[in-house]
Amino acid sequence: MTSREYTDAELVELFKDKSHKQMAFKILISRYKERLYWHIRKIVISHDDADDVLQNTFLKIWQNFDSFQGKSALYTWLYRIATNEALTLLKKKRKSVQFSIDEEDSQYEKQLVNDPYFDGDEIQIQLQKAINTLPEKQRIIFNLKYFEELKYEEISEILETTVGSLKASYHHAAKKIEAYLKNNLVEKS
Amino acid sequence: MNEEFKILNHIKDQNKSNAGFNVPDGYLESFEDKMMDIINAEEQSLAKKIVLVLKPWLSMAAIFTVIAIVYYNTPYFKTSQTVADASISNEITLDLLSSDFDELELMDMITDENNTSIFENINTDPALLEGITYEDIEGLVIF
Repeated sequence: MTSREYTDAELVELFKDKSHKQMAFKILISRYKERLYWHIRKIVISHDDADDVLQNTFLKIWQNFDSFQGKSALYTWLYRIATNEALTLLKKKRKSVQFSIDEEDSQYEKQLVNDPYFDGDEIQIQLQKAINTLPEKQRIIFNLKYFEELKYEEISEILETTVGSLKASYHHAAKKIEAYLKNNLVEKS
Repeated sequence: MNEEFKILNHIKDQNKSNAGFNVPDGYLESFEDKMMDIINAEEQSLAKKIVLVLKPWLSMAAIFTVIAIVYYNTPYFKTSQTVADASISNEITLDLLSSDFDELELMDMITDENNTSIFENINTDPALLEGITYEDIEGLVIF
């Protein structure tokens, strides 16, 4: 059987069977690694950090899969773990290095430009810088809606926030980014 | 998306995949195998941790088992215990016999030639007979 033939619910059941545990988990990884990787990458930015966080995420999933009760969709549970792991890494990093807001902005641009795994053009750099000015939670909401095009209901399950508050938060974030881009792209051109 | 977000709409229309981010060649393709190796290593180290936690308790259990085996198999402990058990059991047997038969019936039983085989088959612990002479036994049997 291939991974395409199992539903998420079947995978959860398969995981409970000791003899199929590893196989079920391998299918789970192959199904979600890419989506989770890009979600994490947009939060932590560097590939190395994203790789670490993705590994920790799947390790946590492996250790806690038995406790998944199926009250929410499997992928929202996975996204929640990935988001928490990514935020934990950012917190750790922030504790070790502290910059002023201006320094942080220029450091962020340097990090992007020097990243061997980022080949975005000027507009992409400015977009990332604009997203980086947002508060953490707003940034995650913006990424999930703008890039991953998740529904508000899905984001609501991942972040455990009401749909109304998510809509307001996304609108506010998009407005700030639009203004940032307007100012910075006009200035540069 | 809303009309007021012209630049964001424009960026989206360019449809650049993953916002300019990319990954090393083969990274995603080899990720499952790498992750399964990490999980297997983690499982093994977890098993080792469990053994390390249980080790002192297992050692103590082993020590107590050895002590118990030695206690029940060493002749010093065994002999005194067995002799005590044998005396108690003989006393009980004699009490039961005396309550069921009077002296004459017992004497008839012992002297009856037909019962010789019964007494020959009785395994008497030599430790019980220590210090008892034939005269003592004769005295006990006749009177």
